Amino acid sequence: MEKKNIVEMRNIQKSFFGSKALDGFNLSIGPGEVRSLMGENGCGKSTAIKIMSGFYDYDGGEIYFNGELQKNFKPKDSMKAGIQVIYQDFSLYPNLTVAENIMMNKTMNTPGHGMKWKQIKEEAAEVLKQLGAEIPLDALVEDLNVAQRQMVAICRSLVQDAKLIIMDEPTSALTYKEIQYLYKIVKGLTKRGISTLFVSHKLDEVEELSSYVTIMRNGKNVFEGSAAELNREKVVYYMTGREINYAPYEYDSKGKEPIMKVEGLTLEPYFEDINFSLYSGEILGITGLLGCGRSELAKSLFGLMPSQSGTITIDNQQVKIRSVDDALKNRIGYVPEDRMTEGLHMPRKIGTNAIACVTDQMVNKYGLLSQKDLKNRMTTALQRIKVAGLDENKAVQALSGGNQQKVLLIKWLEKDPKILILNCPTVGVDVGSRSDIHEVIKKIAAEGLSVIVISDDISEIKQVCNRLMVMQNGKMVFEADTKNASTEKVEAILVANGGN
Amino acid sequence: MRTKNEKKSAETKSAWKELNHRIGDNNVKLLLIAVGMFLIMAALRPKLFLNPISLRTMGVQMAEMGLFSIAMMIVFISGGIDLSIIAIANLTSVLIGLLMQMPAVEAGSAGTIALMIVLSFIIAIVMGIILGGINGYLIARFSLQPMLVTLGTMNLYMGIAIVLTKGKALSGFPPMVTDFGNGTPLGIPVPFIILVVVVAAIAVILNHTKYGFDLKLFGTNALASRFSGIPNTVVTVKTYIISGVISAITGVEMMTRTNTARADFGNSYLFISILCAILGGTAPEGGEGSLLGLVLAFTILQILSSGFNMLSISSIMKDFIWGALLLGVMALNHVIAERRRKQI
Repeated sequence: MEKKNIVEMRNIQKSFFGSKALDGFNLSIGPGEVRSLMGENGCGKSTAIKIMSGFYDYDGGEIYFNGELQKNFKPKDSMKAGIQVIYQDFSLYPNLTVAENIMMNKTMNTPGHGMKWKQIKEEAAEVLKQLGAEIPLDALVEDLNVAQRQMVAICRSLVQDAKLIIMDEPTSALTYKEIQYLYKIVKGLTKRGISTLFVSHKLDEVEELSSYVTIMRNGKNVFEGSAAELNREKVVYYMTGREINYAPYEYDSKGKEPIMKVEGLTLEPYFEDINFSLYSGEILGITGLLGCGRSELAKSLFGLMPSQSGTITIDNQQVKIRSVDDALKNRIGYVPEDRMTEGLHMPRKIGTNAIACVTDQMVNKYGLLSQKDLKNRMTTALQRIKVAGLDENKAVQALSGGNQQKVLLIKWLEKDPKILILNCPTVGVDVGSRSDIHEVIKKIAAEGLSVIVISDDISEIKQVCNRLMVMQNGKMVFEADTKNASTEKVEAILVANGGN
Repeated sequence: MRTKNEKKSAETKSAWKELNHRIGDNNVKLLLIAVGMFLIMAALRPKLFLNPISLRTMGVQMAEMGLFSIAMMIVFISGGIDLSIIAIANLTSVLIGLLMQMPAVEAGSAGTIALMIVLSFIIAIVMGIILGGINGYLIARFSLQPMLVTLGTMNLYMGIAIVLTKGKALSGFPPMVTDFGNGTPLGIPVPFIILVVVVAAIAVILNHTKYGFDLKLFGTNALASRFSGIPNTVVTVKTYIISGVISAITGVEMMTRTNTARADFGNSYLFISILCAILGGTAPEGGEGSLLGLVLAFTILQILSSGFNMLSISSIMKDFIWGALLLGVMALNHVIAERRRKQI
């Protein structure tokens, strides 16, 4: 019997208000296939997924499910064809139990009223057993960790007879061990003939999982082929259309005094006995798995989570940092991990965001702010980093992730800190902006600013930092000059003690 | 000939764009509605509507509505709500009313009473700071829901006023007091002057102070404000204090105008102030608010309200119409916002 493709998209066109999101996109996935879909943010990946799942209409082209041409199909039809999408937020109900979440959609789509609780539990238990996942059926989803939630979402797809499971950046919040487990699950699904479309940025994941990769740029396919043909440079080239060079940051601390010294810093249960020095003009990287205490350490240095014991010395003077105000007085800046909720005021103007921290310097002798001064300051602030098409009167939310991150950096540079802590500065940022941001970090450090970069991306640390430290279970376990620490070595340290 | 017309239309177009850009398209719409309603009323009831007495009456009625809506708007921008504004006004007016009824004041000279009137504004400011400060402190310090906190203080403050007055209305203040409240220097009613002063003060606070700048950021995203070093607690407390002070001053205005102080006066203003704020383009979820929009909104509502009277539409219908208007405006704002979001 001829194997029919589960889904086949031919020459798909889709525009949003005049700008093309998909421009002749093709994708076909057969049964039991693992496919990776790669591309920068904004290249049309999510649009393609949403069209496949029937959430968006498309302007042109043809879509076939199991060999049948589809016209005007709805999410329901897509699900009937066995296509299930697991979005980054999993779309679970946190206040319901695991069993209820797994069976919710199926129960809703079966005719008849009344809940067959016994059957629901049996079926949920059965599908969990197939995956080898040990999650109590009666646990509330809100009490589960990210990896367990993901399993619940996968189970929910399976009970609805999924033939193709689309996973949208499934590894972004997982620890190393959890990622390994996810690989095992995906391979298991393949054996049962269930296909997976794996949306990812990361080449090593793609290499591990799939034989076949689709890379897209500007709504078109730019590469189709096996993962073996790719390397990091090629992936970057295909995704951005340009070559990016990686020159590591050169720094020599010889004869220099540390600007900040941290000794015995402890905040139970997040981290304990943290010791390090930071020299002026250096870029220090801190890496570690999610939950190792790296974010809490950063927040502690910025006064958001004051430490219980230990000392912080800045310019040879011991300082107390118990609030954000204290941190600002000591000229410490912090670019948070989540720019949407912690970093930026999304509906507000770009200009307003850029000067959000510095209005206190602009109050005149009458205690007032002049609109003209504000406007001028916005204009000068936004010249700090070149961003194409940056209009200070536009809302920040209208920008791409990379440009939002640049505005966030501008906001803190405008404050003129001595020490700048960057927590995952390029999460959800496209490859092009990522290298722009790295260049900016190197430039400001070369001008004398001391920078701490926290990241779970070892390649990022290797690219921007001159020194790196590894945190594990709340302790610093490794420190070295970046030149002397290979990526493999750092990875080995991360895996060696397991993490959680 | 044609070119001239084209030129003219191009000029009007660019002037129109300039206006849109200057005051925001929502405010342009409100301005058109206000002017349109004014013209309709002037055409339908020219004698009734366009005479100085009825215009003056509108100015007086507009003052209370306007003051309460400003108090409401400023807490809306912070992402909260203040249900206690009317209770603050009444508790203040009851307290001042009790002072005015003291024998020493009643029998006092004109100078004493004039001093008492000035003093009552100072008392109002202090009362506003205390009562508003309690709201702000409870909300900021214990992260409580603004709606629940101010619902609580609304009843608390009203309860105190009821106890103080034993539920009765205070009245019969010295004639000078009502002369002040109903005075019309240069033909302009005193309540309207109070409104203009408060509007000017709030315009400065919102557009030309660090607090005003921080308020909008805090209302948009309190967490990001905290990460930017904006003192969230201070901003919250200041906001409820400003709302409290405006309400308390309105209390003095109501007392001097009506010659009475009552624990349950003017409860309908609570709803109308929310309606004005929303009609004026203040976002109930916080962060956004235009003072100009608010001024236009309460002007529109005042013309509408006076219009009902002049067209002999039963006042029983008013509540119905206000309610429908609020729901309609919110639905419309939502549709417009959705459409704009899609354009981005």
